[in-house]
Amino acid sequence: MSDTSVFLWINGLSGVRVIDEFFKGIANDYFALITACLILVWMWFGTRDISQREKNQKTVFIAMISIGIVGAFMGIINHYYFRLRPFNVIPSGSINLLFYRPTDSSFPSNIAAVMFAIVTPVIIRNRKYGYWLLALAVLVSFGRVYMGVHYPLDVLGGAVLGILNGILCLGIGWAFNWLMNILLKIFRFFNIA
Amino acid sequence: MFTLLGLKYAAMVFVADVGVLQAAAAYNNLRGMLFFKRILHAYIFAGMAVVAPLVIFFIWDYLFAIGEIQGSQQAGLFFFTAAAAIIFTMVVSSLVNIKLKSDRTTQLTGLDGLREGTFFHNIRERITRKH
Repeated sequence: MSDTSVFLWINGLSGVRVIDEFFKGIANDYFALITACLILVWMWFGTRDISQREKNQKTVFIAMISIGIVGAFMGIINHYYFRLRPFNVIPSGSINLLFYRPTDSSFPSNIAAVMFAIVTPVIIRNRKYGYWLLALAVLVSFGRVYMGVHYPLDVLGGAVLGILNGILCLGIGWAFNWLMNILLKIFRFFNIA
Repeated sequence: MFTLLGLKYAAMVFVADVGVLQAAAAYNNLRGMLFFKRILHAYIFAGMAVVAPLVIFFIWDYLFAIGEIQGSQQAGLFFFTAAAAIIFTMVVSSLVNIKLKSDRTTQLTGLDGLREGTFFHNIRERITRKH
């Protein structure tokens, strides 16, 4: 089964108005990313238990680093590799495009990479929030193929990049735990941690 | 970054951030961080402040069809807007709770310091204690 045939099968599922509108909303450029970031804000401020709060706040630090680094990785990949979007290759009669026509590279999916870069450190350090974020990331990734803007391998590549990047950032967090402790002390002085 | 579209995005994120901060303050009983005397009012405000922008982000492509904010710009805007929301919350909650009685039994630092005092109370107390 080729990437294109899986794409055509998933994209072919579209056409039911309610489901189409659901994916157009959840997998647009903003909704999922904002929701994920708001969950991170809640993790920072909304934890009652002090020791768990500190762990969650360090997780937020790591997730923020992860967002920054995965952005750099994607910039490098996009500089050296360009893949045309499905709507640029497949005849318009065979595809149901529910989104605007992005002009950047199809591979890797930026939103899948960023979402999984957030999910990975969170799910490893806090299952409860991690599962919510994972559900969101999976929906967005599937939604991008469903809407006709990515091939399945694009979102799979983005997800793998995000996961590897998240693991890397957990290592960075472990190495710079002392720095996070100093930053948390400063934030605690101002009552914001 | 500071296009009209960017400003609309930042405004929505700002409102949602303030809502999450109020929800967290209500959930943790951080009286010094609340805008309202009653916890229920804080939850109602937080619910509206979070849900309304999320609905707008959900239907964003229908409301603002032209233009796109790049991922890196989004990250930058979100970071600055979240910082602004925190500062806004610090200032407003400190002013609203200026008469909050502080029979302090807890620590001054950290979020727990906001159970019995505001941001400004705590900073002032820390400065006056040192001198």
